[in-house]
Amino acid sequence: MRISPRAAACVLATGLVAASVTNDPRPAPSWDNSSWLNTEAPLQLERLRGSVVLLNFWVFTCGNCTRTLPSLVAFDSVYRSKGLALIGIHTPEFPPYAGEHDRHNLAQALTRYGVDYPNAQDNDSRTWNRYGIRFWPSFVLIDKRGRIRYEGVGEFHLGDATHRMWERRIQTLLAE
Amino acid sequence: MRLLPATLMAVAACGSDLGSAPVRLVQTRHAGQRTLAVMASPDVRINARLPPAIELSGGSVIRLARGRISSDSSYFLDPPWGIHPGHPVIRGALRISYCRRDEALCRSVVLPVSLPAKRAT
Repeated sequence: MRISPRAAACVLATGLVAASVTNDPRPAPSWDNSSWLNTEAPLQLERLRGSVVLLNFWVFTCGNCTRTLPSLVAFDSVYRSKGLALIGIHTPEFPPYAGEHDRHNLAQALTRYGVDYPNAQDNDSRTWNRYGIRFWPSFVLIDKRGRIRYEGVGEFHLGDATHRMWERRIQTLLAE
Repeated sequence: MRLLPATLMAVAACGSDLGSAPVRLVQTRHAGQRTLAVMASPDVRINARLPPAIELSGGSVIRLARGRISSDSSYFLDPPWGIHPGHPVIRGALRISYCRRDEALCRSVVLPVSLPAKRAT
Protein backbone atom coordinates (compact mmCIF):
# COMPACT_ATOMS: atom_id res chain seq x y z
CA MET A 1 0.00 0.00 0.00
CA ARG A 2 1.30 3.43 -0.86
CA ILE A 3 -0.19 6.41 0.88
CA SER A 4 0.36 9.82 -0.63
CA PRO A 5 1.70 12.44 1.73
CA ARG A 6 -1.51 14.42 1.46
CA ALA A 7 -3.73 11.43 2.15
CA ALA A 8 -1.53 10.31 4.99
CA ALA A 9 -1.55 13.72 6.57
CA CYS A 10 -5.28 14.03 6.40
CA VAL A 11 -5.82 10.55 7.75
CA LEU A 12 -3.45 11.43 10.54
CA ALA A 13 -5.36 14.53 11.25
CA THR A 14 -8.26 12.34 12.22
CA GLY A 15 -6.07 10.50 14.67
CA LEU A 16 -6.27 7.17 12.91
CA VAL A 17 -2.61 6.53 12.27
CA ALA A 18 0.65 8.16 13.14
CA ALA A 19 2.84 7.06 10.30
CA SER A 20 2.72 5.39 6.95
CA VAL A 21 4.76 2.61 5.46
CA THR A 22 5.72 2.96 1.85
CA ASN A 23 5.89 -0.44 0.21
CA ASP A 24 6.35 1.10 -3.19
CA PRO A 25 9.27 3.37 -2.41
CA ARG A 26 9.75 6.44 -4.55
CA PRO A 27 12.95 8.40 -4.92
CA ALA A 28 13.35 11.07 -2.31
CA PRO A 29 13.32 14.55 -3.83
CA SER A 30 16.61 16.37 -3.67
CA TRP A 31 16.88 19.66 -1.83
CA ASP A 32 18.94 22.77 -2.44
CA ASN A 33 18.64 24.83 0.71
CA SER A 34 21.57 27.21 0.95
CA SER A 35 21.50 28.16 4.64
CA TRP A 36 22.57 25.40 7.03
CA LEU A 37 23.53 25.15 10.65
CA ASN A 38 25.64 22.50 12.37
CA THR A 39 27.48 21.62 9.19
CA GLU A 40 30.36 23.25 7.37
CA ALA A 41 28.77 22.96 3.96
CA PRO A 42 25.26 22.39 2.64
CA LEU A 43 24.30 18.72 2.56
CA GLN A 44 23.10 17.12 -0.63
CA LEU A 45 20.94 14.04 -0.82
CA GLU A 46 23.00 12.60 -3.65
CA ARG A 47 26.07 12.63 -1.44
CA LEU A 48 24.26 10.76 1.31
CA ARG A 49 23.79 7.58 -0.70
CA GLY A 50 24.84 4.71 1.53
CA SER A 51 23.48 6.46 4.60
CA VAL A 52 20.01 6.17 6.09
CA VAL A 53 18.54 9.67 6.18
CA LEU A 54 15.91 10.83 8.63
CA LEU A 55 14.39 14.19 7.76
CA ASN A 56 12.58 16.07 10.50
CA PHE A 57 10.40 18.91 9.28
CA TRP A 58 9.96 21.23 12.24
CA VAL A 59 9.93 24.79 13.52
CA PHE A 60 11.07 26.06 16.90
CA THR A 61 7.74 27.77 17.61
CA CYS A 62 5.93 24.42 17.52
CA GLY A 63 5.71 22.74 20.93
CA ASN A 64 4.94 19.39 19.35
CA CYS A 65 8.21 19.72 17.47
CA THR A 66 10.41 20.79 20.34
CA ARG A 67 9.02 18.14 22.66
CA THR A 68 10.13 15.54 20.11
CA LEU A 69 13.70 16.83 19.91
CA PRO A 70 15.00 14.71 22.83
CA SER A 71 14.08 11.59 20.89
CA LEU A 72 15.80 12.86 17.78
CA VAL A 73 18.90 13.87 19.71
CA ALA A 74 18.98 10.34 21.12
CA PHE A 75 18.67 8.79 17.66
CA ASP A 76 21.52 10.97 16.45
CA SER A 77 23.66 10.07 19.42
CA VAL A 78 23.20 6.32 19.00
CA TYR A 79 22.96 5.88 15.25
CA ARG A 80 25.06 8.59 13.59
CA SER A 81 28.17 6.45 13.89
CA LYS A 82 26.23 3.51 12.43
CA GLY A 83 25.22 5.37 9.27
CA LEU A 84 22.21 7.50 10.17
CA ALA A 85 22.16 11.07 8.85
CA LEU A 86 19.57 12.99 10.83
CA ILE A 87 18.68 16.31 9.22
CA GLY A 88 16.36 18.99 10.47
CA ILE A 89 14.43 20.91 7.84
CA HIS A 90 13.38 24.07 9.63
CA THR A 91 10.29 25.39 7.90
CA PRO A 92 8.57 28.51 9.31
CA GLU A 93 4.83 28.65 9.78
CA PHE A 94 4.43 32.45 9.65
CA PRO A 95 5.96 35.21 7.50
CA PRO A 96 9.28 36.78 8.57
CA TYR A 97 7.70 39.21 11.06
CA ALA A 98 7.32 36.28 13.47
CA GLY A 99 11.07 35.67 13.73
CA GLU A 100 11.11 32.06 12.55
CA HIS A 101 13.16 32.97 9.48
CA ASP A 102 15.96 34.45 11.55
CA ARG A 103 19.10 32.33 11.52
CA HIS A 104 20.15 33.60 14.94
CA ASN A 105 16.83 32.56 16.48
CA LEU A 106 17.17 29.10 15.00
CA ALA A 107 20.74 28.84 16.26
CA GLN A 108 19.56 29.74 19.75
CA ALA A 109 16.87 27.07 19.60
CA LEU A 110 19.35 24.41 18.48
CA THR A 111 21.56 25.28 21.41
CA ARG A 112 18.64 25.33 23.84
CA TYR A 113 17.54 21.84 22.85
CA GLY A 114 20.99 20.35 22.47
CA VAL A 115 20.65 19.69 18.76
CA ASP A 116 23.97 19.33 16.96
CA TYR A 117 22.89 17.48 13.84
CA PRO A 118 22.61 19.50 10.63
CA ASN A 119 19.65 21.76 10.07
CA ALA A 120 18.62 23.52 6.89
CA GLN A 121 16.70 26.76 6.86
CA ASP A 122 13.74 26.13 4.58
CA ASN A 123 12.47 29.68 4.74
CA ASP A 124 10.68 29.56 1.40
CA SER A 125 9.16 26.11 2.18
CA ARG A 126 10.74 24.74 -0.97
CA THR A 127 11.80 21.44 0.52
CA TRP A 128 8.59 21.21 2.55
CA ASN A 129 6.61 21.49 -0.69
CA ARG A 130 8.77 19.02 -2.58
CA TYR A 131 8.02 16.41 0.06
CA GLY A 132 4.33 17.30 0.27
CA ILE A 133 4.50 18.02 3.99
CA ARG A 134 1.42 19.42 5.75
CA PHE A 135 2.04 19.40 9.48
CA TRP A 136 4.68 20.09 12.10
CA PRO A 137 6.49 17.89 13.02
CA SER A 138 6.76 15.49 10.10
CA PHE A 139 9.29 12.76 9.43
CA VAL A 140 10.61 11.09 6.29
CA LEU A 141 12.96 8.12 6.50
CA ILE A 142 15.06 7.50 3.40
CA ASP A 143 16.98 4.30 2.74
CA LYS A 144 20.57 3.89 1.61
CA ARG A 145 19.45 3.97 -2.03
CA GLY A 146 17.75 7.33 -1.65
CA ARG A 147 14.18 6.01 -1.57
CA ILE A 148 11.43 7.11 0.82
CA ARG A 149 10.50 4.12 2.94
CA TYR A 150 8.59 5.59 5.89
CA GLU A 151 6.70 8.79 6.53
CA GLY A 152 4.86 10.08 9.56
CA VAL A 153 3.76 13.05 11.59
CA GLY A 154 3.27 14.01 15.20
CA GLU A 155 5.04 14.42 18.50
CA PHE A 156 6.66 11.50 20.29
CA HIS A 157 8.85 11.07 23.34
CA LEU A 158 11.86 9.14 24.51
CA GLY A 159 10.90 5.52 25.00
CA ASP A 160 7.26 5.73 23.99
CA ALA A 161 5.70 3.43 21.41
CA THR A 162 6.20 5.84 18.52
CA HIS A 163 9.82 6.44 19.49
CA ARG A 164 10.38 2.69 19.52
CA MET A 165 8.64 2.33 16.16
CA TRP A 166 10.92 4.89 14.52
CA GLU A 167 13.94 3.32 16.15
CA ARG A 168 13.01 -0.10 14.74
CA ARG A 169 12.64 1.46 11.32
CA ILE A 170 16.03 3.12 11.55
CA GLN A 171 17.58 -0.16 12.63
CA THR A 172 15.87 -2.02 9.80
CA LEU A 173 17.18 0.34 7.14
CA LEU A 174 20.66 0.46 8.63
CA ALA A 175 20.77 -3.34 8.47
CA GLU A 176 19.94 -3.51 4.76
CA MET B 1 -13.38 40.22 29.07
CA ARG B 2 -16.67 41.10 27.44
CA LEU B 3 -17.36 39.75 24.01
CA LEU B 4 -19.28 41.78 21.54
CA PRO B 5 -21.25 40.13 18.86
CA ALA B 6 -19.06 40.12 15.81
CA THR B 7 -18.10 37.61 13.42
CA LEU B 8 -16.06 35.90 11.15
CA MET B 9 -15.42 33.23 8.83
CA ALA B 10 -13.90 29.90 8.55
CA VAL B 11 -12.06 28.06 5.90
CA ALA B 12 -10.89 24.52 5.50
CA ALA B 13 -7.65 23.65 7.26
CA CYS B 14 -6.56 20.52 5.47
CA GLY B 15 -8.53 20.37 2.30
CA SER B 16 -12.26 20.23 2.18
CA ASP B 17 -12.36 16.88 3.94
CA LEU B 18 -11.46 18.30 7.33
CA GLY B 19 -14.20 20.81 7.66
CA SER B 20 -13.91 24.32 8.99
CA ALA B 21 -11.14 25.89 11.01
CA PRO B 22 -12.39 25.98 14.60
CA VAL B 23 -11.43 29.56 15.40
CA ARG B 24 -13.06 32.93 15.00
CA LEU B 25 -12.06 36.55 15.47
CA VAL B 26 -14.19 38.68 17.77
CA GLN B 27 -14.23 42.27 18.96
CA THR B 28 -13.78 42.55 22.71
CA ARG B 29 -13.07 45.09 25.45
CA HIS B 30 -10.28 45.05 28.02
CA ALA B 31 -10.22 47.76 30.68
CA GLY B 32 -12.26 50.04 28.49
CA GLN B 33 -10.10 49.51 25.42
CA ARG B 34 -11.37 48.05 22.21
CA THR B 35 -9.60 44.82 21.50
CA LEU B 36 -9.62 41.90 19.12
CA ALA B 37 -9.44 38.29 20.26
CA VAL B 38 -9.38 34.83 18.77
CA MET B 39 -11.91 32.37 20.12
CA ALA B 40 -11.30 28.67 19.61
CA SER B 41 -13.55 25.67 19.97
CA PRO B 42 -12.94 23.55 23.09
CA ASP B 43 -10.96 20.90 21.28
CA VAL B 44 -8.41 23.39 19.99
CA ARG B 45 -5.34 24.92 21.60
CA ILE B 46 -3.82 28.07 20.15
CA ASN B 47 -0.04 28.16 19.86
CA ALA B 48 1.35 30.75 22.26
CA ARG B 49 4.87 30.55 20.85
CA LEU B 50 3.49 31.85 17.59
CA PRO B 51 0.65 34.22 18.56
CA PRO B 52 -2.11 34.81 16.02
CA ALA B 53 -1.62 37.69 13.62
CA ILE B 54 -4.05 39.80 11.67
CA GLU B 55 -2.43 40.88 8.42
CA LEU B 56 -4.36 43.96 7.41
CA SER B 57 -4.97 44.63 3.76
CA GLY B 58 -2.96 47.85 4.12
CA GLY B 59 0.14 45.88 5.02
CA SER B 60 0.37 46.30 8.78
CA VAL B 61 0.17 43.40 11.22
CA ILE B 62 -1.65 43.15 14.53
CA ARG B 63 -0.30 40.46 16.86
CA LEU B 64 -2.78 38.95 19.29
CA ALA B 65 -0.15 37.99 21.84
CA ARG B 66 -1.77 38.90 25.15
CA GLY B 67 -3.40 36.40 27.44
CA ARG B 68 -2.44 33.75 29.97
CA ILE B 69 -0.28 30.94 28.66
CA SER B 70 0.49 27.42 29.81
CA SER B 71 3.44 26.76 32.11
CA ASP B 72 5.53 25.46 29.23
CA SER B 73 4.56 28.53 27.16
CA SER B 74 3.16 26.34 24.42
CA TYR B 75 -0.52 27.32 24.44
CA PHE B 76 -2.85 30.13 25.37
CA LEU B 77 -5.09 29.41 28.32
CA ASP B 78 -7.38 32.31 27.42
CA PRO B 79 -8.34 33.69 24.03
CA PRO B 80 -5.31 35.64 22.83
CA TRP B 81 -6.02 39.32 22.24
CA GLY B 82 -4.54 42.57 21.04
CA ILE B 83 -5.45 46.23 20.83
CA HIS B 84 -7.97 47.19 18.17
CA PRO B 85 -6.27 49.58 15.72
CA GLY B 86 -9.34 51.79 15.66
CA HIS B 87 -10.07 51.35 12.01
CA PRO B 88 -13.79 51.27 11.25
CA VAL B 89 -13.25 48.11 9.28
CA ILE B 90 -10.78 45.31 9.95
CA ARG B 91 -10.11 43.62 6.67
CA GLY B 92 -7.33 41.23 5.82
CA ALA B 93 -6.27 37.78 6.95
CA LEU B 94 -6.01 36.05 10.28
CA ARG B 95 -3.00 33.76 10.47
CA ILE B 96 -3.09 31.27 13.29
CA SER B 97 -1.15 28.23 14.49
CA TYR B 98 -3.18 25.75 16.48
CA CYS B 99 -3.30 22.17 17.65
CA ARG B 100 -6.26 19.91 18.18
CA ARG B 101 -6.25 18.29 21.59
CA ASP B 102 -6.50 14.78 20.15
CA GLU B 103 -3.49 15.26 17.90
CA ALA B 104 0.20 15.77 18.47
CA LEU B 105 0.94 18.17 15.67
CA CYS B 106 0.70 21.82 14.70
CA ARG B 107 -1.40 23.23 11.92
CA SER B 108 -1.24 26.66 10.37
CA VAL B 109 -4.14 28.34 8.63
CA VAL B 110 -4.92 31.68 7.08
CA LEU B 111 -8.50 32.89 7.24
CA PRO B 112 -9.99 35.94 5.57
CA VAL B 113 -11.42 38.40 8.08
CA SER B 114 -13.77 41.31 7.72
CA LEU B 115 -15.06 43.14 10.79
CA PRO B 116 -17.70 44.19 11.20
CA ALA B 117 -19.24 41.52 9.03
CA LYS B 118 -21.27 42.63 6.08
CA ARG B 119 -24.95 42.20 6.70
CA ALA B 120 -26.91 40.11 4.28
CA THR B 121 -29.30 42.21 2.27
